[in-house]
Amino acid sequence: MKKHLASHNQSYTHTLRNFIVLVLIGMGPARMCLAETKKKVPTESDIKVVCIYNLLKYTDFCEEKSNKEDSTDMLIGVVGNDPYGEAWKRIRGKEVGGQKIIIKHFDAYPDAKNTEKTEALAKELRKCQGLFVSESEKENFKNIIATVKNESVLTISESENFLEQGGIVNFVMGDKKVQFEINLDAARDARLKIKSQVLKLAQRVIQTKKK
Amino acid sequence: MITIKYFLQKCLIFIGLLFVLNLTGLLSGSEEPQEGGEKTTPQKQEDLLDMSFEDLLNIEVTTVSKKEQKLSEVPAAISVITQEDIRRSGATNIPEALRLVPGVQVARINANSWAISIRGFNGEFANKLLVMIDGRSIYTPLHAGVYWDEHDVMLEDVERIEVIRGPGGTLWGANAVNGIINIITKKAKDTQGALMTGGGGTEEQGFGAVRFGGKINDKAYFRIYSKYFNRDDAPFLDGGDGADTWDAIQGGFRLDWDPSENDTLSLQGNIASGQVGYAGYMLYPVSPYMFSVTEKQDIKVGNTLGRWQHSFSDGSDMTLQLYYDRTDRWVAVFDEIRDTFDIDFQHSFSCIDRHEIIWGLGHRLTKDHTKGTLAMSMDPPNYDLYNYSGFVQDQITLWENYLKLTLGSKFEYNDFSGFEYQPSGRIIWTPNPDHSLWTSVTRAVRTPVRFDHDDESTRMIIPGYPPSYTPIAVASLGNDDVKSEKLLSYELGYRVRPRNNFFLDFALFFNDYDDLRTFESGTPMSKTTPFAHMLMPLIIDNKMDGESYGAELSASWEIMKNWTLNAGYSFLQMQLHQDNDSTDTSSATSNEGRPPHNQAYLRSNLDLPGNLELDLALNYVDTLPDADIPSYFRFDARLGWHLTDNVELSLVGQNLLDNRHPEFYYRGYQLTTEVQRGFYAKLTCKF
Repeated sequence: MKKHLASHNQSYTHTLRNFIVLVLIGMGPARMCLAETKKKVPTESDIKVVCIYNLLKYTDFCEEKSNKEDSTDMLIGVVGNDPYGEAWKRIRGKEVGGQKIIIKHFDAYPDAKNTEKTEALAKELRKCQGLFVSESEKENFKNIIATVKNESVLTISESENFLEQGGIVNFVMGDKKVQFEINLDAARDARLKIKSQVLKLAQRVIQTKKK
Repeated sequence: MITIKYFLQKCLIFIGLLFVLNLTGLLSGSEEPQEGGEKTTPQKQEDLLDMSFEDLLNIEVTTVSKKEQKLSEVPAAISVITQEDIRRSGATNIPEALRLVPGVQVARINANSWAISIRGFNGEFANKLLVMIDGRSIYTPLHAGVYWDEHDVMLEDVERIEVIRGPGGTLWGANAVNGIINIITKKAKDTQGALMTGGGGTEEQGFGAVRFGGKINDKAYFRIYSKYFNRDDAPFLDGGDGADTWDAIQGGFRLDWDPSENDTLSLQGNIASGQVGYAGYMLYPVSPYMFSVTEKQDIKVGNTLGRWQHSFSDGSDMTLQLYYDRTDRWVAVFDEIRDTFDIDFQHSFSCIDRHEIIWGLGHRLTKDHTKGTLAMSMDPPNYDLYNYSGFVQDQITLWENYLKLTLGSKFEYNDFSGFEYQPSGRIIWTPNPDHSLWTSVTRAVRTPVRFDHDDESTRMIIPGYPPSYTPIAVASLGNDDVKSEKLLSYELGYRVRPRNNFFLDFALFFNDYDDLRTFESGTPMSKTTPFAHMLMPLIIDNKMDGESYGAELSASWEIMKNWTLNAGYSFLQMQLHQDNDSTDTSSATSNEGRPPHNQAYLRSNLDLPGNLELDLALNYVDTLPDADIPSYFRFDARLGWHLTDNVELSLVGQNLLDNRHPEFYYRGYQLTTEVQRGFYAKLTCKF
C-alpha cells in the first residue's frame, strides 16, 4: 500500500506543476482572443451607463440647468451602492449640450428622522440633472423622489416599482438586452421634456395625464 | 512525499504568480485605477458612445458578469449552479446536477443511491454535509447523511443551487462541517403557465412532470406540480442484473403572497411515494446467517414549509420559518417513521453605522419510531431528539466598499452532546469590483446522531470454532458518552474577473479535525438472544484526529456570444491519526483513502444556428485507493433543439466513454452496482 501511494505522490507533483504551467501558457493566446472579444461584448453596466448618456442628450432640462453660462456641468448623482463602478469612466468628461459630465457619489439616504442630514443631501441632489438611485435605497425611493420633484432632475434606477413610486426612468432586462421604461407623468412633474425619438425606444411608457 | 509544507509552498507560488501576472497587466482589464490614468484604448470606449441609441439597446449582454458580481462579495468558497446550467447538463436529479460544482465528490453507488460529500469523508451516509431545500434541512438525524432517494425536486422549477465548500458554522450550524448545499426553487411568480415534460431512454426508462402556475391576484401567485420517474437497474460488478430499480411519484404546491409592501408570505408542500429496489444480504439468526435477498423498499415522504418575511420601518428585516416533515421508510434492514418540527427566526438590522448584524433563534424536534433487524437497529427504538440553537453575526465594514470583517458564532444545545459553539471570523478585501480576496477561520462541529448514541448493528456473523462452534457476531454499538466531531478550518480564496467574459475562482483550505468517530473493540461477551453467539462489540468513540488540505479552482469563459466554457479542478489530501489507545484498525486508512485526490471537469455549452444547443461535459475522477475503484473519465453530451419558443427537445447521452464503470462501493449489506452508459430523449412544452 505504501509503495502504491509513493508513486501516486510523484504524479501529484507532476500534475500540480503541469497544471500551473498549462494555466500560464493558456493565459498567453487566451489573452489575444479575449482582447478581441472585449470590444464585441460590453457588460450590462457599460451599456446602461451609455444609455444614461443618451437619455441626458435627448432630455430638455429647465432653463437654469441647461444654460451653459450658468452651469458648465452636467451633474449625475449616484445615491446608494454603485452597481456600475468602473463603467462610469466611459462617459465621465463627455459633453452633453456644451456641459461636461461629472459623476458624484452620495452615500445611502440618511435616516428620515435626521432632518439636518436629509436637508443637506436634498440641496445637493437638486443640483443634479441626472440622479441614479440604487436598488439599495428602495426603502427610500419615495423620500428621494419627493426631494427632487419639480427640480428638473431625471431620476433613474433599475429596480422593480421605481416608476410606480414616481421615478422617471427604469432599466429592465429584456431577453438579454438592456431596455428601459419611462414614466412620462413624473417627467412632466419634474419639468423635463424627453424627446419623442427616445420615447419610441422605451419598452413601456406610463402616461395617464393628458397634455 | 507530499507534506503540508510542500503543498503550501506550491500553492503560495501559484498565488504569487497570479499576483505578479496581475501587476504586469497580463490578467487585468484595460482600466488600471492604481496607475491613476486612463490606460484604456480610446478606440474601444468611443465605439459604444458613437452607437445610435437604438443599436445600443440591441446588444446582447453576457450573463457571466452579473452572477459573479454577487458572488464576489461573499467571503466563502461559494459556487452557484443556475437553472440554465442544470437544464443544459442533462441531469435528471439533484445528485447528478451536483457534478457541476468543483470540489464536490459525487459518486453513484447504485441506481438509487449516491455518496456525495465535499472535502472528504464521503460515504453513503456522508455526515459532514448540510443539505437544504428552500431552507428545509434534508439530512436525517438518524445518521446525519442524506437519503437522496427521498428528496426529489422538479428540476425545471429550481432557481439555483448554492454550494458552499467549507464550514458554514455561523449561519447554518451543526452538520455544516465540510459544506452546505442549498437548493432554491423558483418563486411561484416565475413559474406561471403550464409546463409539461416527458421522456424516456435506456437507464431513465420513463419520466414526466406537469406543472401549472397561476395568479390569484396581483399579489398572490401559486403553482402545483406532479412528477413521475422510473429508473432501470444497474449491473453488478460481475455483470449480472442488479435489482436497484427506482420509481417514484411526487406532487406539491407553492403559494407566494405579498399581503403588504413590507410582508412576504410563502407556503409550500410536497408528498411523494417511491419504491426503491434492494439487492444484497439480510441477517437472520439461523445458519448460514447471511441470506441473499432482493426486495422492493417503500418510501413515503410529506413535508410543508411556511415562511414570513417582514421589513420594519426602521430598515430592519425579520424572517420566521416553520416546517413539518414526515418520512416513512420501510427498507430491507430497517423501518423508520420520522416526524420533524422546526421553527426558525432571524432578524437583521444595521442601526450602528458600518455594522450589519443578523441574529436568530431556532428549535427543532425530531421524533422517530424505528423497527430494526439484526443487521441494524436502534436502542431505544423510539426517541425524541430536541435541538435549540441561536446565532449572531456582525458584518463590519472596516473600509467603505473595500474591506469587510464578519464575526459570528452559532450556539446549540442538543440531547446527545450538550452545548456546542461554532465561532467564525472572515475577512473579504475587494480592491475593485473585479477582484476579491477573502480568508476565514471557522470552528464547526458534527453533533452526534442516533447512530452514534444508540446503534446496535451486526456487521457480520462468522461461524464459530471448535469445540463449541458458537457463531461470532461483530456488531457496532452506540455510546452514551459519544462526543461531537470537531473541525477548525482555515481558508483562503481569490476571485478575479480579468475580462468581462472570463471569471476565475480559487480556494485553498486547511482543516484540522478532532474527535473523529472510531469503532473501538470492546470486551467480547457471550449472548443467547436472539441466538446463541459470542458478541464482539465495536463501540463508537472519538479516538481519531487529523488534517486535510486542498484547493479548488474553477473558471468560466464566455468565448463568444454563443459559446461558454467552464472548467474546474480540485485537489484533496488527508492525513488521519488514531489515538494511541485506539483499537480501531481501519477508520484512519479507510477515510484517508476514500476521497479521490484529484477531480477535474471541462464543460462546453454551444448555441448553434437553427435554435440548436450542443452541450458537452468531460469529468475526471481519480482513484479511490481504499476501495480499489479505478480512476475514470466520464463524457456526457446533450443536443437541445428549440422547435418553437415553447417546445424544446433534448437528446442526452451519459457516460458515453464506457459501457459501465464503478464509482463507489457499498460498505453495508447492499451490493454495489456499476454506472452504465445511457441515452434518453426529453420533450418540454410550455403554455
